[in-house]
Amino acid sequence: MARSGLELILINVWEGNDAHAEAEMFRERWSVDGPILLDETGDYARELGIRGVPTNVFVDADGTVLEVGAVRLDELEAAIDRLTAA
Amino acid sequence: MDEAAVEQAADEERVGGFAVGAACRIDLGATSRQAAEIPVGLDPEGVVVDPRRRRAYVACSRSNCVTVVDLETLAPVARVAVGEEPIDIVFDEATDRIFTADARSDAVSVVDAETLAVVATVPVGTYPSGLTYDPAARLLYCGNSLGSTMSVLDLDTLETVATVETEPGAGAVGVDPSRNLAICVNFLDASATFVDTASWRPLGTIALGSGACAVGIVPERGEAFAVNSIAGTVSRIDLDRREVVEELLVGQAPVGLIVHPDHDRLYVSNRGAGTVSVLGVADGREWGQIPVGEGPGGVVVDPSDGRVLCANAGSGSLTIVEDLLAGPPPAADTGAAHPLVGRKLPAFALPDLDGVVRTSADWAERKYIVNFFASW
Repeated sequence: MARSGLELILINVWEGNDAHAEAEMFRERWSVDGPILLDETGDYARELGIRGVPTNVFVDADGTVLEVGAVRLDELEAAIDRLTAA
Repeated sequence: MDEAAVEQAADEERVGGFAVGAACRIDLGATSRQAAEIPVGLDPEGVVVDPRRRRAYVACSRSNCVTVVDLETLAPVARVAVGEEPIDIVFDEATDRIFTADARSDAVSVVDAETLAVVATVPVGTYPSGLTYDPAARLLYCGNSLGSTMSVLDLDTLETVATVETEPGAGAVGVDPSRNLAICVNFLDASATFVDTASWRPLGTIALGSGACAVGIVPERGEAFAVNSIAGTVSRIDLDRREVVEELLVGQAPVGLIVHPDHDRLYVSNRGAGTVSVLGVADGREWGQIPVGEGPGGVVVDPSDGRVLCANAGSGSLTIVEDLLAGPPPAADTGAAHPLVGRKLPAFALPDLDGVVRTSADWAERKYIVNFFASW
């Protein structure tokens, strides 16, 4: 991510039990250094029409959503390239 | 996540130390997540939630009991013997009482939810099989299948307020207080009887599909939805015109129905398919099917967390499942862009793991990726 100048925000959703503890374990397991936010009600995911996890939302500098989805590695790389170039 | 997926994730290129891709991938087509399947007894047909105690009460028709399930520990915690063949069940928060329609006892059992003791047995018509209630009017409705009547009981005094003639197979009842209307679904007659709840006079009967056996009301739309188990459809009924306006397709042998508290969708249990259909109220389309246990019957929504509870008559269990559908799925996989694309990202204000609320304004004028994830 550093190479592309993009930032990554993780939002935990649909966790079921203790979202905070699960997200903390997730951070350790995957060495996440960006912010992890909790959408415990699922309201924000619902507002965005997110239907499954993981889902990535690519946001341009003016706040416009460029793409939604792109979780396969090749899709992800291509989407990162497009957002970097945008 | 299975082992292959774990290995795949480990092999993925890391982005900022974190595999944004397959790290927590689940089936993207997944529309539900099962929390538990809990054994409850023989032939559970009816289920209801006690929100304050975080319990479900399940009417087990062949065990002649109500099984109490703790919704936090997801385990059965008690059994209450009621009459013979309890089929349907209602919980009244005001009196803190559970009511069961005991078909072979021709009676309604009344159970104190605190002590779990049967405090009364109220005779109704022959073979009561459907219960519903109007908490504001303090009335309990009971469809008596072989008596071809609908009993109306006062929830507080337990006196019979009215007995209304219906048609053979009377069972499920829907109530629309805003229209002073009750609609009783008659299984054997494949019909619905409309009743004026101010005068208790029948207003007429309309034909439904064969095997009509469950009903739900969406008052603000002036509509009722009735399940036709043999026809395999759900009838959309216009309550003011008193006619069926649409037949909706669901799964095999649909028997149970509940309207989601948001009124945007219905859940219909498909006895033959072992699934619950998610049916859009506005579009009438089946958004998806949620796998549950065998021979599902009674279905409800836990108002505190929105999870779906389904009594599986075949497998003798209660399934608790999350419906992950945010709304209607795309009509087809046409490659159409997500509706969000091209729009501004809706603002967020969510706590981070330190409890600090972060807002989208923190990332103004920056390019970023929001990754929605769950640990499972």
